[in-house]
Amino acid sequence: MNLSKIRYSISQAKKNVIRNGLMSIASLFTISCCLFILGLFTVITFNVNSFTTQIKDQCEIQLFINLGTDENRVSEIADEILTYPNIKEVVFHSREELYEYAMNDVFDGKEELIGNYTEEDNPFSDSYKITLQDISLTSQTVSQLEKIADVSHIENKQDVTNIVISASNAVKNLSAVVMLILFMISIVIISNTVRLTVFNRRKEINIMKYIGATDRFIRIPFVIEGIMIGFLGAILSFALISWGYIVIYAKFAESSFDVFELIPYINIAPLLCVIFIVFGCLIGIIGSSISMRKYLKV
Amino acid sequence: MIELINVTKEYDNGTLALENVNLQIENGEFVFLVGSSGAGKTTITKLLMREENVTSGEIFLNGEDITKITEKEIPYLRRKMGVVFQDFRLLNDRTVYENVEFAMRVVGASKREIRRRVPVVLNMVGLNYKAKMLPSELSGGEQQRVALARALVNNPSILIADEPTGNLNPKTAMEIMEIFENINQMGTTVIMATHAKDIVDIMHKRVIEVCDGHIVRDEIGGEYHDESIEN
Repeated sequence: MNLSKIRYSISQAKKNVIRNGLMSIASLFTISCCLFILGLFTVITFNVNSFTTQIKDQCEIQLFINLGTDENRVSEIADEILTYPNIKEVVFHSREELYEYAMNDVFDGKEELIGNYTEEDNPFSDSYKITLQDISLTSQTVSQLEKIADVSHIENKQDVTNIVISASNAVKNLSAVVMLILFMISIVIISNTVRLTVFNRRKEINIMKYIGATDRFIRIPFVIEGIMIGFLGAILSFALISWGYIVIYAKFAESSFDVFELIPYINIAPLLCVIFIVFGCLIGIIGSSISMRKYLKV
Repeated sequence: MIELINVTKEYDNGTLALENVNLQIENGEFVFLVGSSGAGKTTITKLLMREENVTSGEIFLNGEDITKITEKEIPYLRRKMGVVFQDFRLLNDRTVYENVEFAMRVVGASKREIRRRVPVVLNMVGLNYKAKMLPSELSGGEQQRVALARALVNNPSILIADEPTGNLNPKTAMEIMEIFENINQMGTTVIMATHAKDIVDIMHKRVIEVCDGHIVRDEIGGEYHDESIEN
């Protein structure tokens, strides 16, 4: 396709959008709404993914050593731990550190809750914080580590983690289904708008076919029209989502809620922008292509 | 040369429009296709433009069997032909110039070519002084001239016309026929399906009469004389 044909296609597409003014505006807003909801679920999915990753990164277990175990044995236990598979990192927490942490951070101001314990009468035992490579193998790793001599017990938060991961997966699946439905709705909407243009210009299409226009030449202005509406819809909904996200992010940052962090807007914006534009244009291309079929048969 | 060999066309609804038709048209000929409505004239023009395809048989255009070409090749076949209809089929929201220019745009002509060629063709049909007018501001004869200019602008080797004078008064119809005659004399093959007895009789061209899907007469310098057709 040469430059003159491309220019002609673009000018025709612009004329179509203007000629169908009200219908184009109606489509633009409907598509923006669909893309907005689509974007909302995308943002939720991004954050759920980020949260799941945070949880997975906290894939840790705490291994406690029997009280009274001597220092050498404590060090040996660290070496033994490292011989097992699925161990990413081992960090030692001495009983003194734990006592200090409990007194200063956990029970600060409420020392009566810790009873009559003193530093000499420290009730805590030495422990290792172990980071695992694969959270799904936690049970196997725990049963292996429990067999090490002088290990008192192991604490793990796998149940909680599993619940969080299942919930995240459910949200992700739901998002995927909603996104698919909205994508299809948007295609139907844009397809109807373009169908109206095609119907209005069926005589012209018919003449073009007799003159020797290729299907591609006839189709392209309508596809561009679909892309224009899809693209504008994408820009509009991207602006809305961005504004909403920035506001919510600021509120989140001000609040004391610190179970997980929202992804900063600047990290999410480029990918979100690309997704919106790709989806918008794709909706335009598919929608308009569907509408053209009937009228190309001459 | 156009050659139809044992062409049969049966439509999906079971209508047998043509049966074992054999026909040869040399380059540069002027041919009238005559016959009553539903005889098969328009089916022949549709097959030539590949608007329809044969049920059986072959159609050769300058040695190429156009019944075998793919859907994608059809536009390129049609660029070798100009087509004129009874109802003109002009774009009413575009000027005379734009209607003709449109045909050149479709085939990807450059602006320079368009600027050079459109005035020449409008001049040929005697409409250069009405280039900026809309079809609604023109008479029927003038609208048909625009349609002719559009059909000619890409220099087709064949001009197919389906009842081009059907909506015109006799005087205007004769003026249009003069233009067809001039085009033919410049070497373009003209194939015209018509019911216009006066025109066929005056022009004394080759007349091919179609009746119930068969060619029943093929006469050089013939007339539209068959009583059954006239009735």
